[in-house]
This record gives sequence, structure tokens and C-alpha cells, in this order.
Amino acid sequence: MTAIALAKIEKRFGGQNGILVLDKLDLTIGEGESYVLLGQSGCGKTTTLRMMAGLEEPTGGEMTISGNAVYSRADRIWVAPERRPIGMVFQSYALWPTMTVMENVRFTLERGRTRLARAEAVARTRDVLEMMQIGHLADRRVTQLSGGQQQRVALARAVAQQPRILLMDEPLSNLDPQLRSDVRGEIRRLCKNLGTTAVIVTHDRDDALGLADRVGVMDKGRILQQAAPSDVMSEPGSLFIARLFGEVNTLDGHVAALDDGHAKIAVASQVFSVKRQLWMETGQTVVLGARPLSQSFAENGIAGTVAESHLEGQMRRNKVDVGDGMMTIYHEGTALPVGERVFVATRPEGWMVFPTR
Amino acid sequence: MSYSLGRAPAISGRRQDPLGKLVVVLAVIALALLLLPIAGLVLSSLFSDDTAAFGLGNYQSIIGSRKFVTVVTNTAILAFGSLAVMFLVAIPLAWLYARTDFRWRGAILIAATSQIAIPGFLVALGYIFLLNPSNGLVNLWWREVGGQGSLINVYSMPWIILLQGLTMVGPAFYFLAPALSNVDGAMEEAASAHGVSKFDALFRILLPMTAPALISTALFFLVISVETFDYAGMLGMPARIDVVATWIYQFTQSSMTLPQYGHASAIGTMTAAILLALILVQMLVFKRGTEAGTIGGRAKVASVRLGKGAQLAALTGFAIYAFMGIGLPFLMLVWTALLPVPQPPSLEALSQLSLTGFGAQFWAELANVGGTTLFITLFVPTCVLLFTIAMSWVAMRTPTLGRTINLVTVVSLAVPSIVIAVVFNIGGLAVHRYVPLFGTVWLLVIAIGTRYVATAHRITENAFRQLNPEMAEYARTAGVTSGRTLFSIAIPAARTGLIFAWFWVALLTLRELPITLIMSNYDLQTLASRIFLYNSSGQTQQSAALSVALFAIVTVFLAGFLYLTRRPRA
Repeated sequence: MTAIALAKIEKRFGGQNGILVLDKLDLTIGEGESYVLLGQSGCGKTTTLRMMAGLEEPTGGEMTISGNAVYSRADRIWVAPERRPIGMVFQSYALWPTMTVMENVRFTLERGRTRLARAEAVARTRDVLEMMQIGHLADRRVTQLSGGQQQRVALARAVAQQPRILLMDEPLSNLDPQLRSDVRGEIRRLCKNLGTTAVIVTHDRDDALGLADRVGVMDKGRILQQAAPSDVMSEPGSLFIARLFGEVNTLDGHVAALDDGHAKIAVASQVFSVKRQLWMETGQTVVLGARPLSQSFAENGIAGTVAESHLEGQMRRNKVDVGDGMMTIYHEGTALPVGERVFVATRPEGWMVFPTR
Repeated sequence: MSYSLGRAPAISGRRQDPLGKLVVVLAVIALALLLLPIAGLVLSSLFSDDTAAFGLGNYQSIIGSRKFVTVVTNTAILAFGSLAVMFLVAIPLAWLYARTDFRWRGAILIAATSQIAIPGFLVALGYIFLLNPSNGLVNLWWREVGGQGSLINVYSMPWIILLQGLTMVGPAFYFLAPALSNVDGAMEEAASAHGVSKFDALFRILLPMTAPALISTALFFLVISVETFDYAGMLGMPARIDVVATWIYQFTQSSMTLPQYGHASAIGTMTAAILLALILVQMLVFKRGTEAGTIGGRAKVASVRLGKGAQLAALTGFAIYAFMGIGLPFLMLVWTALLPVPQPPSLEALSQLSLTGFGAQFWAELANVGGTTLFITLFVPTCVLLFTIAMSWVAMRTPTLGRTINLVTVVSLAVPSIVIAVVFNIGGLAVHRYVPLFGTVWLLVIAIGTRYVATAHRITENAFRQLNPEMAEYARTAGVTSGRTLFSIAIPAARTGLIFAWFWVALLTLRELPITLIMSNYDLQTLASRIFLYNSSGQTQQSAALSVALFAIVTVFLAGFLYLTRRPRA
């Protein structure tokens, strides 16, 4: 069952000749799925989320929720947010400052879509607050809470109505790193327990990895790749996507030979064997990439000289000049002297290949 | 705890929103109330007073009249002159408050706020008691010591310019102080580190930087200056010095002929057109000005150090301003109220001080007109607030209607008070057979309310704009109706700004004169109109006594206002 479907959605700001923020976007999210929209600022992910909520109106295309049309340019359909089966958590939390925690949730249940009677609203509020582990804060004014506590209230408020679809805009960006990790796990468990469909917008790759069943990588109003997080990490569709998930060391080379399942990539004097991709042709220039974690200093490999070596957390971060460019390699231990000759070995399964743009 | 996914229908049905509909209705009524005077003004100007024919007869009559050039010249002289006086006092005060460590900065704020509250005509009255040529205290004393005629005559253009300019210092301070506060404090530090004097730092660095705010303020108060009736009315008319506002008044209040509403409207339309142009230019300048650099996160708050001599000089200057603007007129009103006949201070005068002015007649009078005044002062801000909340909310939710509301609001600002009074009187007369509003307090309330809706709208819009827009957006995603969101979420969250708006309109209502004058009659009087009329007929003690009463009422509202806007305890 499809929860949300976007077909050729277009959003143009500023009239006919305005800025095209979303460009024929196609997206399908299944019921119960946790889908993360990942991308840098300005890629259109928040606009997409707001259109699912109904807070922005697209300028072209079609959108359905649970099979019902909520937007269609051709049929002139537009369903207001009040009528959509959604719950939303804003980046600023948007809690109502004159109310307590209990009142924030109860008001939503009594006056929102659900229209519960007072007694039932109070009971359900207490349940939800307990579930979010903030039951003891029920009578506290929301302005007296910490960031993490406020975030839980925002979540409680959104899930209290038992929405089919939960929309979250950068839910963790205002939290400090330690809290981020903990809350990330809790949100994931919450969504799975409720069985609700979740769409989460973030620019942080750890959020994507921790929260998603599927990740949609967005750039300039288009979805570049949709896959499970581990797949996007290990088989990124492009160097751009690969870089979103972490550092990538690159070398320029060309396809020297192709055979069953394998390809030989020549880089300067060396040849590397990688998995063959459908788009490869003999002689084609390519970019060979590897993440620092699949590389290490060894007896032989790619030759280079140390340009920089300093401590970063537990590891040493080294910049190695390999002639073709700079590589970032990590190692544990003492600093390497600048100018030292080193060799960089790469695990064969760690190589990624991309066509040169 | 089991928690299951809702089985509600995917798309909910449409909900009734009676509150939301009520809000829209209120906004539309407000729009109508704003548009009516504008339409009525133009229409009535096109019906000739002399021949009842439709056309530009009234305009021709006005432009061709002998007084036209004089009135326009006088209006311009008064407008620019009082603007100059205003800046001369307000800029140093704003600088002292916003950029220095002047020890009496709190007093500046109180004085400026008090000036907003104190009715202009009371200040004028105080100075009339002091400086009028027949029995002003100074001139009485002058004759006692052997002088001829009068030493100072307050019924003259220089004094009108001075007093009107002085009155505008209070509100101007509220414009200039924030503008000056926004500039990084490092400006003066850099100046002093290079040996630049404080004087030069103010005039050559700071003021040029805040030029858009200064120009915007100048344009705003130019409009106010043309519109103001109090000083020209009380000080100009006795000396036959006419400006636009008093010329209009005279067309409606002549004791010899029927009111010439057509002529009054023609002047009003022409004036409104010019003022509208000024307002539009002001909005453009203001918009551009706010885009310029303002204080960022790291910028320093200014605190120029004033030496002992400078502190003393500043204090003296401030004291003179506070005395002339507030202290002296108040003293004069009290003095005149306590004496049976105006006379300069002397031992004999002191022996005649008594409270007979505050006897039984005074209290009866106060109960009558004071009651009406209080009723209006409580009723008008409440109604205005209801309407402006509706307008602001509708404007936020429906951008297209919002643009119309803002446009109409801006245009209505250009219609002078006296013109509004004229138009509502005309309207009241026209519908008198069906709706007997003419001459009643209700028409007065509608007229005054209409006058201040535009001003209040700016404040309520600002109050709502401070709110995080995502609060209302979340409410939408949760299915809360528009009306419910306004009443349960937006209004409580913005209540400080809304209460501020209420008090602001209440203070403006208390100090209102021209509308009250034009629309009052034998049965309908407020403190303002009563004071004016007593003074016109020479009953100085009575007018002074009522003035003191009005001063007291104003102080109560002012105290509430100051309490509300006090700096929050950290």
C-alpha cells in the first residue's frame, strides 16, 4: 500500500519565470516506511515536505495520500493541511508558549482533527507523555524546558493524534551530539512501534543512516538516488552522493580492460581491479574513489609523501600527496614526519568508480 | 501500553469554523468603515455647496479664494518649522538615551512617554494662561512693572511652531531611539580612538548612517504636522492665523451660515492626496532603511562616556525640555484652577488660592462629561482592537485580501481627523431618518475608532509578526480551525503587544480634540470639547479645573502604560 505518491511534482517560486525549486519530482513512499530526504541547504527537501503537509502548493504535477488525490494541477484538486491525515514536527518545534506540556498535547486532541472529549483527551495525553518519558513534565510550561525535552513534547503532540503519516523537518538539528544519537534511536523505535509512515528531512548523514528504511538523496530539486542507507553508502550513484556520506579520496584514471564482472582501471602506472558497471566502456575516463576507512598505510600500494599529520580525536589525520592530488588517510599512533615517503593500501571491495563529469 | 494506528478516513471532511467566519466578517466591516470616509469625502467634495450641482465647483471656489495661498503657506511654514523644532530636541535626547551613559536616561523615557499621553490642547491651554495678551500671567506681571501692552503674545506663528514641535518630541523619540540603538557601538569607539570629538561623531558619522530612519521619521511627522489641529486651533484661530486643519473647521462651524461641507471636503480631499503621496514615499524610504545593516550578534551596545560637565549640560537641557513641555503647562493649569481670577504669583495671589474651582459645579460637570469621556476611552480601544486583530489575522492567512487591507489602511492614514469628523457627520445626517446616529455618542465612537484603526493596525500586525509562524502552521497540520487558532494560540501569545495597542489607542482617544469638537453638541460633550469651549468663552478657572481632572485621568492610563512597557527584570 502506498502512503504517499508524488508524480512529476513541480514548484516554481515567483511566477512564470521564477526559480524552479522542484523539477518533476517522482517519489513513492510505502505504508509504514521511514523515508529520509537527505540533501544540502537549498536542495528542495523542506519544500517537498511542506508540500506533503499541504503548507505549500505545488505548481505542477500530482500528489496522492493513501490513494486519495490531495493535489492535481490537471483536475484542479487541492486538499488543505487540516484535512490530511498527518502529524508534523517542525525544526523550531513550534510549541505554544502560553500553554503547559499537557495543554499543548490536549489542545491538539480536543480542537484538532481528532475532536476528542476532555476526559479522553487527557487520558490519551498522559499515555503519550509517558511513552515519550516526559510524563513528569506534564504541568511544566514549555518555555521552561530544555531543547531535548521540547523536542519530545513536539513529537508527543504530533503522534497523539495517531496520524497515518508523520512528517519531521530536521527533528534533531537543535540537539547536541550525544543527545542526537540517543534520540535518533528513540525516534526509530517509536515509528516502528506505531507502524506509522514517516518522512524525515535532514542534511545530516548520520540521521539518514540511523532513521531510514530508504534514503532519497536530493539535489537541485531532483532525487538523485533512492535506496536503503547501506546501499547508498556502499554503492553511491555519483561522487557527489558519495561525498555526502563522508570523505572520499579520488584518483583519475581510465578503463583499461573489461571482462566478466570485472574491470581494470589504470591510474598512472598502477592498475586496480573493480566490479564492472554497466556504463563502463574501454578507454573511458573515470574517477576512482575510496573512503579513508577502507585505506591504510602499508608496505606497498599507492606511493605518496606526507604533507600534514595531526591529531583528530583518537586518530591521526594525515594528508598524503600522491602526485595526482591529496589523500586523507587515518592511522593510530605517533605523528608522521612531513615529507616521509609512505604507501597507501586499499581494500579491493572499498573501491568506487564514477564516470568523469 | 498498546498504541495502534488510527483507522480514520484518509481525507477528513470539511469542518465548520464559525469563529473563523466571524473574524472575516469583522475584517470586512473594518474595511468598509475605512473605505466609507474616503469615498464619502471625495463624493461630498463634488457636490457644490452653492448650487448643489455635481462637479468641481467646490474646488474652484477653494483654489480661487483669497485665503488659499495664505493657508497653504501657513500650513507649510508650520509643518516644516515644527519639524525642525522637533528634530532639534528629539535627536539629542535620542542620542543621550541610545548612545551614552547619561545618568538620567530612564527619565528621558518617562518624559517622552508622558508627552505622548498629554493632550496637546492642554499644553496649549497652559501656555495660553501664561502668555495670552489680555490676561496671561507674564503680561499681567509686565503691566504691573510698568510695561505697555504685552511682552509675549502666544497667539503667534513662532509660538505655534515652537509648541507643536515640542509636543512631537515624545513620539519622535520612539522612532529615533530604536534607529540609533541599532548602530554598532564600535562606531563611537573607533571615532574616539582617532581623536574625533563626540559632536563630530554624532553629526558626521552616526546621523548620516541613520539617514533613512531620519528621513522616514521626517516624512511621518510631516503628515502628523499637517493633520494636527490642537495648536493651530487654540493659538492660531484667535489671531486669524489659518492652516488647512482650521480652515476646514471653520467651514463646518460658521455661526453665520449653514455648514459648508462641500468646501470642507474639497480641502480635505486635496490635503489627503498630498499626505498620501508623502506616506507612500515614507514607506519606500522606511523599507530601504530597514534593509541596511543593523546590529548583529557580535555588535556592541553603545555607551559613550560623558564627562561631568557634559552630564550637567545634558541634564540642564533635558530639564528645560521637560519643564517647557510638561512641567510648566501643568503648573499653569493647576495655578489657574486654584485662583478666581488669573494673576501672576504674589503674596496676594497666594492668599487667594482656594479649591472653589473644584466645588459642587465642578464635580457635577465632571460626572457628566467625564463619564462620556471615560466611556469613549474604554469603548473605542476595545472595539478598535477587535477590528484590527481580525484585520491582521485575515491579512496573514489570505495574502491577497491582506494586500487590500494594507492598502486601504495606508490610504486611510492620509485622511486628517477633522475630515473624518466632517464625513461622518455628513453620513450621519444622510441616514438620519433610518438610523438615528447623528449627534449621538455612537457616531462619535465610530468616527474616533475609524481614525485610529490604521494606527492600531500597525501595532497589532507587528505583534502578530513577532510570533513564530510555525506555531500556526503546526495548528493547521493538526486540523485546528483558523478561528480557534487565533483565539486560543495567537492572541494569548501576542497578548503583550495587543495590550500595548489597547493602551496606545486609549491614550490617543483621551487626547483627541478635532473630531470631538465637530461632532459634539449641547447633549454630547467630552472633557476635551468642554475645556475648549470654556476657554473660548473666557471661563478660565472652569477650563483649568477640568484640565487638571483630565490630566489626572491621563496619568492613570499613563501609569498603566508605563507599567506594561517597563524593562523586564533580567
